Amino acid sequence: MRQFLFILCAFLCTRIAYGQSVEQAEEAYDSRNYSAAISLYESAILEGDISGEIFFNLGNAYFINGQLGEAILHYRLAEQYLPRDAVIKRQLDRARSERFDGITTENDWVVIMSNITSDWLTLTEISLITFVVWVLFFIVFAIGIRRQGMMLTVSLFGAIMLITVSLLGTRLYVETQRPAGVILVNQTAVMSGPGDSYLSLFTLYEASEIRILDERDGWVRLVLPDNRQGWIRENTMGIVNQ
Amino acid sequence: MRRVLLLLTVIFSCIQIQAQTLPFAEGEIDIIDPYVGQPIIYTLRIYTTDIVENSTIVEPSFFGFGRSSIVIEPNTYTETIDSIGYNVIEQSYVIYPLRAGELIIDPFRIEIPQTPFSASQTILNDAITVNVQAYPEPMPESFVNAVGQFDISASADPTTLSSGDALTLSVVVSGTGNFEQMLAPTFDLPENWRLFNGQTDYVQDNLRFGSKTFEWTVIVEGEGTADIPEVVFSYLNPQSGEYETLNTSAIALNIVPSSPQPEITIERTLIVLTDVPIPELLPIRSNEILPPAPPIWFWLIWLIPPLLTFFIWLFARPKQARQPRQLIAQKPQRKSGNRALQDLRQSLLQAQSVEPKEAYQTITESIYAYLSTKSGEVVLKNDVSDIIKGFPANYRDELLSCLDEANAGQYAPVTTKDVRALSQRVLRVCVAIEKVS
Repeated sequence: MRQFLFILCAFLCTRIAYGQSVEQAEEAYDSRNYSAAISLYESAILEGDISGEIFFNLGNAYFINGQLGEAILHYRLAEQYLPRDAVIKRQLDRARSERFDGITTENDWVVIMSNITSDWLTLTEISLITFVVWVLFFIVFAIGIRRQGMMLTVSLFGAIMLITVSLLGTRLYVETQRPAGVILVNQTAVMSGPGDSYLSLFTLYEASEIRILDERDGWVRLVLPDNRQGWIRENTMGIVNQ
Repeated sequence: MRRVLLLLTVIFSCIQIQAQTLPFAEGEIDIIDPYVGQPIIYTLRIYTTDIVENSTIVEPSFFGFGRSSIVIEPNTYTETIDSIGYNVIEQSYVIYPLRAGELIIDPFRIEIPQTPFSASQTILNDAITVNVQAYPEPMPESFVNAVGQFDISASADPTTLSSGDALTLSVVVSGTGNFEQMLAPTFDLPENWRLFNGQTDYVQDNLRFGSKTFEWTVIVEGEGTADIPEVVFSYLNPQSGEYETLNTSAIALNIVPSSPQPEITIERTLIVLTDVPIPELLPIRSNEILPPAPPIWFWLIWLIPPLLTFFIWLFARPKQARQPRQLIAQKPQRKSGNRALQDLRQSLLQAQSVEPKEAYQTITESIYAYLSTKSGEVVLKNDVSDIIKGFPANYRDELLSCLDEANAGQYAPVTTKDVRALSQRVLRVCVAIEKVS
């Protein structure tokens, strides 16, 4: 009984501590002390107080503090939790319009297919929807084994299941194999290989959005929406799909 | 003897000429120790004595090198080497090393098709080793990966403009070197001016000379005279192995106060208004239940529906498969030998009243029906030998012989007399079997 009470107290104290960091961060933000707000929000996230709203508010603090790369990164993290939130979308568009390199349209069909769902569903939501369709298909299929004349219904459910599984599959592929990233430093040279001895191909500026293809020895291979590729140091960028 | 010697000399000379005139290829680069990014020209020459058409050139991977977009048309000419005239095909490629160190260019493979005078051949040139040098240290800040010998100029248009208006700033780098890998030179502008990247054009006049134009759009602010500061451009001169720095002269601008235009004023006010508001914080909602990504165990439960369906299929299928077998097995009823014989006799009588070919088929079916009735199981062609295993050997052979004849009779010219004879034989065997059992 004592042990239980101890664990309960510890849990409640942690929750109160979480709330305190966020409250203090909000106070700092309201009093226009954005650097303090940033560090308080960051510490709240480190303590495990993670939500779309906190990422968005942290993004706002970065945005006003002039750290456009960090702002876009945190807006995109917030978008993963709250994909249908119009305020986040508006603020993300606003931040994107301020940056130096403005290429955003991605032409890769896998990314386009993944974006069909990522604009309005979280990964969990699309996974649950697909799972329901998956279960329904197998129920109909199992009934179809025992009863005659259900070929049309089974085919219909099969087609719906294939569509949802494809959407989920491309979403998972893009988020795990080609995760999005944002450049966080003022500017960085993109090299032809993973090292400083390689040829510098072009320069990327803060807040440029990239997709990561490979990682090696502290370097990441990136591709831009216009299909240019190269290597940059891992510590010059932040990953959106973690 | 002399004739033989003369003949041998002629043959030997022919072989020697043939050996000397075999096609060959050679590769050559113009710089063996280039710097990283420095363009080098790789020239491949294919020497043949015949006029070869449709030969295939398989390029090496050029691992560690980048390929320039410059396309060079192949050149053909004739050349005499050791008194042998060769047709030469010359193809050049512009490549640039991507990293420092020893890089190897693998051989080209040239496949020469068969001609009326020679068989098809594959020739390779030698691999070439390139020692790539790293950029010397220390690098000047204004170094933008330019390796070669260059000249630079800058211009702005217009040079007289209103505050808030845009001008186009162009910087042209010309000369010989790696224009494709060269980055835009950097320069500082007054803090309140805004700079936007513009077009970058690259023109290659020939294999070595070219120019690259960088353009920016600059929005100027303020009043009076102002300067676009000089653009500093450093490049590595591969001849001397040292960095050289060029400066453009500063460009004087005359900025006049912007005339009060109501539309522009309104627009600017709007921009300022939309820029100023500080984004509002989102209130933290505690009703968030779902994380953005599902946990690992979630993917495991996906296996349950297909597994359940598989088990349903596994148990449902044998039932379906068993049903028809049971139905067929129920048909024959085990009857006494006399009753089976009676049924056989009736069937054989029926066979007498139909066409001979059909009668043979009826006799076959009668035998199967007799055996089925006797054994209480469905007897098919393959089961016969098992069913009659217990019969005496001579009757067993006789019954099999009757079955063979009945089967063969369905495809052979037979008469009513034959039908009657076979029926009597079958009946005789079956009666004998009944007597024994």
